[in-house]
Amino acid sequence: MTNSIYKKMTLTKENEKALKYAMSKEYLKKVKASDTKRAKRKSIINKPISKEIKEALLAL
Amino acid sequence: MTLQEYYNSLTFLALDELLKQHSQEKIEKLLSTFKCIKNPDLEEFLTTSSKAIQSEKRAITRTYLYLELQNNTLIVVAYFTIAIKILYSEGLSKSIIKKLDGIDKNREAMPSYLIAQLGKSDKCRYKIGLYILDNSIEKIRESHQIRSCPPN
Repeated sequence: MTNSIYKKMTLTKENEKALKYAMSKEYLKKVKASDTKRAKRKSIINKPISKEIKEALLAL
Repeated sequence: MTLQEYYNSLTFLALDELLKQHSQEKIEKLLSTFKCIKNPDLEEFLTTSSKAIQSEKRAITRTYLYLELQNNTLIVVAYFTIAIKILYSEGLSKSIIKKLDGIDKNREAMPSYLIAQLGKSDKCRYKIGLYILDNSIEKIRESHQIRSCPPN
């Protein structure tokens, strides 16, 4: 997936249907369910860097 | 190895942190290991003219990398990039603008988070897209708590 960082992004009438859905109770319920599932999946964001990777970084 | 085990075996690092600890030359070498035939833009952002590094240094974007040791070589197997973007509301009805902005129905521009890049390398051995998306949302939420840009 690639989105332009510099290109101007404008929301138009064509986006209204999607925006209305994104703010609906129905969709927010789905988001909540998805958040619950996500919380169960273990994240590696805060995993410490292993010795092997540290060494590989130094050896670059 | 299961998908979860593969994901757990990866190393997650912020490009910003890497740049603080290693030379740009080394980081460029690491980023050049990312290959994606299906989406050349994804590869180009990391590897060509140091776009990712320049945007990181100027604090325009924040890029996060997934690293794996394959045959004793460290490679980037996936990454995502987050930026803060202004969304213009030309043509939207006032009720929608009010809902999006939360305050003013006449707001013409609203800050929001943009997942500018998100993808995996051809060398990534499992379909970890869901995990990358999870982590990008996690990072946006972290940022939202600190910087108060609405997570639209």
